[in-house]
Amino acid sequence: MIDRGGIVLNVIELNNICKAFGDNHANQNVCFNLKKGEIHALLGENGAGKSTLMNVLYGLYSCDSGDIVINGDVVEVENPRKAIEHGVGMVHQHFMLVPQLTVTQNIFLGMKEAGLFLKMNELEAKVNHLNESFGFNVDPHAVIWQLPVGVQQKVEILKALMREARILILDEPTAVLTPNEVEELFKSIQKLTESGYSIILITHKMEEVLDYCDRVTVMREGKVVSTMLVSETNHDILAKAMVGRDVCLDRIIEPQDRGEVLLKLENITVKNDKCLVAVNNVSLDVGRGEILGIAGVDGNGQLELGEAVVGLRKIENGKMFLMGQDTTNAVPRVMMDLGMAHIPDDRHKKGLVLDFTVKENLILGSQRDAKYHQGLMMNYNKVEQEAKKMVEEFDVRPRDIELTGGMLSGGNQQKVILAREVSRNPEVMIALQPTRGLDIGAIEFVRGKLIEERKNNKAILLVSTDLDEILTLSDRIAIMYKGEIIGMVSPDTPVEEIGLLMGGVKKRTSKGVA
Amino acid sequence: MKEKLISLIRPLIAIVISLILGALILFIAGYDVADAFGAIWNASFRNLRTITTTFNKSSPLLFVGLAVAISFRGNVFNIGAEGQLLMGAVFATLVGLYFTALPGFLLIFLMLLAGTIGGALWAFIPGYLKAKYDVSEVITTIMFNYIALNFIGYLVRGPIRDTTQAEPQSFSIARQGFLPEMIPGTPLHFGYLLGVVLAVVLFYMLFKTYVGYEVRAVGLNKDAAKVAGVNVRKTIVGTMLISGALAGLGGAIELANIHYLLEGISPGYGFTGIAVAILANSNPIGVVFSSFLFGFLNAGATSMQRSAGVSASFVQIFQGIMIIAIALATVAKKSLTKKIEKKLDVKPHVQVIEEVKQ
Repeated sequence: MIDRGGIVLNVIELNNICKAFGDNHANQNVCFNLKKGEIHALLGENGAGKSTLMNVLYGLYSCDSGDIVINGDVVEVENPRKAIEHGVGMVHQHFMLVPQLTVTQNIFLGMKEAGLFLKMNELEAKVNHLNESFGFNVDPHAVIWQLPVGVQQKVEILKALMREARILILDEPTAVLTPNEVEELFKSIQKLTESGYSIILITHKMEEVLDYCDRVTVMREGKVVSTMLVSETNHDILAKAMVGRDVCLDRIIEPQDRGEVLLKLENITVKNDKCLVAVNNVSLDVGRGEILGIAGVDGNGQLELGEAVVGLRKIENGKMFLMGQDTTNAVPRVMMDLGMAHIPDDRHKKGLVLDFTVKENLILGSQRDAKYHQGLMMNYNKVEQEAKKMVEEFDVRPRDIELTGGMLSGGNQQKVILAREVSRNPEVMIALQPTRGLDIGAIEFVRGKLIEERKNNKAILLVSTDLDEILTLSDRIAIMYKGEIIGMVSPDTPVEEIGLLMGGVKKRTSKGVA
Repeated sequence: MKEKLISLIRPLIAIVISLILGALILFIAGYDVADAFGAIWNASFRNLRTITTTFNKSSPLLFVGLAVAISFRGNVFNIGAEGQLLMGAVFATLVGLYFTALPGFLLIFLMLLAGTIGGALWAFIPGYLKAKYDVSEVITTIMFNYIALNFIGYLVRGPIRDTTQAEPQSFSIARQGFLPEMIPGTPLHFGYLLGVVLAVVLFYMLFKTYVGYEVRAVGLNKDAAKVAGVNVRKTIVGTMLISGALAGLGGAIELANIHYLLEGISPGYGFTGIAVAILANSNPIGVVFSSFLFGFLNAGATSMQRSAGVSASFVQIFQGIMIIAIALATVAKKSLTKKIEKKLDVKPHVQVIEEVKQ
């Protein structure tokens, strides 16, 4: 455990962990170790077994065989409480916060230290103390639902720190963060490691592994492929280890003429949930055969803009035209009938009915199409027939259309949504964060489909906080800052310039399409 | 089919557990368990007349059970089936009292129609308030229950009171408006048959039509339904209308069955209906069975008191245990079904049901 010098300590050793769910061997003889003070990435596609392994470590699952060694002792981790006792904290991908409570209330929720009668001032002081130590900038009074996800994430980390975790497991912490937030997060994480904390970072993003981590363990299909020093690896090695084959996420868009304008926004203004102006006087148009990317740091109004376009949010001012018709504040049904498809930003909440079967999800929105019913009665034979075609064409795995949507992995859920929307054969497609939280294989697939739709002369509006994605897919890039389009550039614009625009710095000479 | 069968296991296990617990409580309280259960059983299954009485007692439960079940499917928590049933009875009474010149068939039809409208109307307002202003339907429907109850109190003490009776009750409706018997000489009426037919219709509506598809989609995830272009508000109001209509129809049938209006026309049918729907997992076909079970228990309550000396309230305790058991079974559902599936490989569910039955 302790090396000869007595300096480097393996705070965690997982030896030959096996865990199976029925016939699915999620972890097969997995070995993993974490050194004190390092950031160790656990890299792999969705379903590779990373989360399973960490859930075993955190006591959410019990392993079928294998040892867990924490700080040199073999321990039984029967439940998360035990894990926390051993100083292991986990921040889940889906936050476990009570939206109506304040930051401090959330942090102390369930902690005995808070006492029966809450002394909020004292508790807040404790939060502030942690805040200062690690450079989190979280307002302890703030109510969770009003905070951007990046800050909510920090609250989750603070929660673990307050419980005296010395080892932090972060499950895909950057999935919902903007580039700036990511950078900020890793700054804080680095401060943590300097103070002797050890971090396990579950991720499928190679960039953050290469940029911020010390070591990386790559998993595929339940097994460890290899453990490497980050300094001795590179993008291609990691990608290949992860996927098992060569992948290409480079820009492969061929130049193509822009056709007639199908979607046009004229000076629209939209408010957010807090009734503040989120989109201010924005004008845009998207033509046939083009992808217009909207870049920007999360929370600058791009999602509100997208929601307004698909009819989920009121346009307070200005006009919107779809296929030449005035569709300002039309309901989603009207937009869909005119030929608009919509990939929502939140698969679970807006994209799928998780308790519906895959086949039912595949016709959500098309249930009134003539081909799916006779009179009032649904034609479920036809539904099944079409659903089978769709899961085949969009490679939804498994190919079982009777599974409920909630049983699919994130990537396959997104494929179901994509299959549904593309099969409607729309003219205009609104894609909001279409690859958020997906693994590299699924990202490749989703992007490929968007490119295919572009080739089919559809007009596509892409909203993404992943700048790489915008750069890879777009014909033109609109950058949003504080609700306004601060610049319209071509994708060959230097990234630094776009980054500045995303930060609100206007440069007089932004080249490209105005 | 496999899943449908497995969904039967849950209520069956709950019933068995509550039988055991119920027996235990009786035993601890010092009663003869066999006597008490025997009395309940006998009260329903002694002869044709008692069986038909049980059906008769299940009738209002069947209708409110269906009403609550469909509202649950649409994620509307209709606690107001009681009030909607009462309003259905009121509307039917008024038709039965004032349209005395109509022939029987037409009068009954009009009474039932009026009851349906009454119930739907009573559900429309809470439904509309929920859809339009997001007012909690739980609160509004409960308040509407009281309004309906007190409205009946006013009617049977004032405008339509039958002064020849000591207790406040309305005049009897026209003779030809009495519900015809399905089997002559027994209390089983055609209203019950209508309920069973409606259960089947409702089942098809929920699971085989696009309207039902939309109701379920809104019930399971209204955000996703909205994104997919479903008119969520309209669906919520529609669900409430159907729910209220069913409860109102149940009230009208009950009224045509007992022939006059009184304050105690419903001993809380609307609330028992919630239990009926939950036991049936909000499946309309299941409601037919669960409402019969509750009707059977209610029918046996007095008989048990008479012959075994056990208070009739025990039946309510028993129903309470059943609800708790089913709630627990819901929580345990996932691990339970998984374990069962693991143990028995092929065609497992039929066997399990057989086991549970024994």
